[in-house]
Amino acid sequence: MDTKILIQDLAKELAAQKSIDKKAALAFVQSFFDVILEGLRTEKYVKIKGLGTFKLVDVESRESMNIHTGERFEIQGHAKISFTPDATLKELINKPFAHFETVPLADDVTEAELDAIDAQFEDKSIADQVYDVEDDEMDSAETEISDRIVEPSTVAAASLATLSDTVSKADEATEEVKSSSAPVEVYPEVSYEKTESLNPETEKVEEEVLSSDKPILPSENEEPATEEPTEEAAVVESVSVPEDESSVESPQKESLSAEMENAGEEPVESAPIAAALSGENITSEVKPDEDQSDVDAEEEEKYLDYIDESEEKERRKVRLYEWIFGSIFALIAMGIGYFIGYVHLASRFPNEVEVIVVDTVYVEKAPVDSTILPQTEPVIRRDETTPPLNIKTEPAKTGSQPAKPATQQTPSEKPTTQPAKPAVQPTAQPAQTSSGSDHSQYPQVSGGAYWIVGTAQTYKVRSGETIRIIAERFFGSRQMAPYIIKYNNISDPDHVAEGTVLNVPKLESKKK
Amino acid sequence: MNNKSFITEVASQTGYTNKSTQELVDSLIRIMTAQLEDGNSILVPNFGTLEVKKKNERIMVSPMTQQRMLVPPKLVVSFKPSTSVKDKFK
Repeated sequence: MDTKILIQDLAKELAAQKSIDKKAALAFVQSFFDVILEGLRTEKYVKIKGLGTFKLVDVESRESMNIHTGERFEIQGHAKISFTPDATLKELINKPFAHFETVPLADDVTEAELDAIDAQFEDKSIADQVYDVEDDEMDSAETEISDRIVEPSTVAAASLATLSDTVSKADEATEEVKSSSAPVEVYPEVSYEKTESLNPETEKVEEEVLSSDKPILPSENEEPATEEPTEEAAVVESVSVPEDESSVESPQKESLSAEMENAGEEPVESAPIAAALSGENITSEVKPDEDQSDVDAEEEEKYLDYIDESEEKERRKVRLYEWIFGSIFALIAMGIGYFIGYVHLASRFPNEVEVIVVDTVYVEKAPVDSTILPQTEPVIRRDETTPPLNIKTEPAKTGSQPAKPATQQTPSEKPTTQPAKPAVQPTAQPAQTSSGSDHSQYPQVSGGAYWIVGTAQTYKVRSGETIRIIAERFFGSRQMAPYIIKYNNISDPDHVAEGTVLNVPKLESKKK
Repeated sequence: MNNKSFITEVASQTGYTNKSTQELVDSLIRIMTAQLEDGNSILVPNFGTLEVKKKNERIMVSPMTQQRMLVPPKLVVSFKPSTSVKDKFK
């Protein structure tokens, strides 16, 4: 296989076959080739039955250009030896590919489609060899692979060898696989295609999960998408290894349960779960391949027994396990990393949305407030803990022009200058009564895990303090700052004046 | 030079009869073919190299009908003359 045969080897075999002296055989082989050259010289043409035709072809002189200097020069006319193999030899050599036929192509078939078909075909025919290839990869015998790629002529031979491994295969099968000729070459493509075909479905699953959840983080859709491929790659890789399925699924279950714990608090976590779900999806989908590789594994083992390489087998197994565990850890790490990143995002996000929402909300409230406010203030004041509204700073004005929303929209001008003086909130707003509880009378942080149910206490901002620091003091986390911002209707959370009195909201978990 | 004159020439050089020469040539070609089938290449000093090469599949357009055809991959025997032979025939 892919060895170089010298005339000595030929002579040796000839001597053995014809039972003649080795020396005589060597002399004969030598003169055989000499005569071919002799014939070429005298007649420019030698035809040998069973081998082919050697011909001398004249090449006319032509002009060419030196690629470095651009200088023109003439290539002298010369004779070229051409060799045309005999029909019988041609057929014998091409036997592995003999079952192929030239087929007319439909007009609308593009080359890309052909490639896809190729990949499918290779996928099937090299199924036997996939296992071997993976072993090779594990041994990081990339050089070997690249060798095979570089020398196409040796590829057929290479596949032949692997074939002889799977002795049980019939001749036809041999031809089939042999004809695939470049299995190693195509392998990466195949796996790529696998992941490709898996991707859309998993994404679909994700989208479904997402749409069923109410949070609407724009970045949410992007994150899983970017993370997906790598995760999948890991899954697909690990999947082709036998007895991997169970082990792959268990970490996913773990991550699932971990997600469940927090799911109630953070509805935005649906994405990691989706990822986990899609992971399961993959494992179920790729099962057939596993079965195949299972069978292959058995064959492989038979072969190994046959050649008595039990040591090698052991080593392979160890590597196999290492590999499996490695991929599992990678999966878990990915899940955790994703989750952490997510919580981070969720904490930051609300601030941005609120800023936008605030204005519109207060515009809606405006007419009600302004009409009631001026005189009825003491009477209607039912709840001392409601957040202050700046409307009251100019009661006369608002009272005289109750319909003017402009005054209502300027709370930012004098933020919480009179926080102690509570204003009357509209008792019910149709848009916010979905919960049906009394939470609706308080501002809410959308996407947050808590209802604001009142004022726990007031707090005077000291020098050097930020809302986030205050949030950490009262709620144990800086991530709770949005609640304070929202409750006190702070328009510019980054600059809170010293001495500002804040109402620290009382929170109640939305989780029942 | 056809096969017959080739055999005669070899016979005259080696001293075998034409008949036995034909037999020897046949078995030599069989041996070479078997080696090539196994994917080996045959190196002959001062002559050249015989080896099997794989030609990839390709799309061919019939000049007559403009019909596109997919030509399957194939294995072919190729002969590469050695440099000394090349020089000899220049």
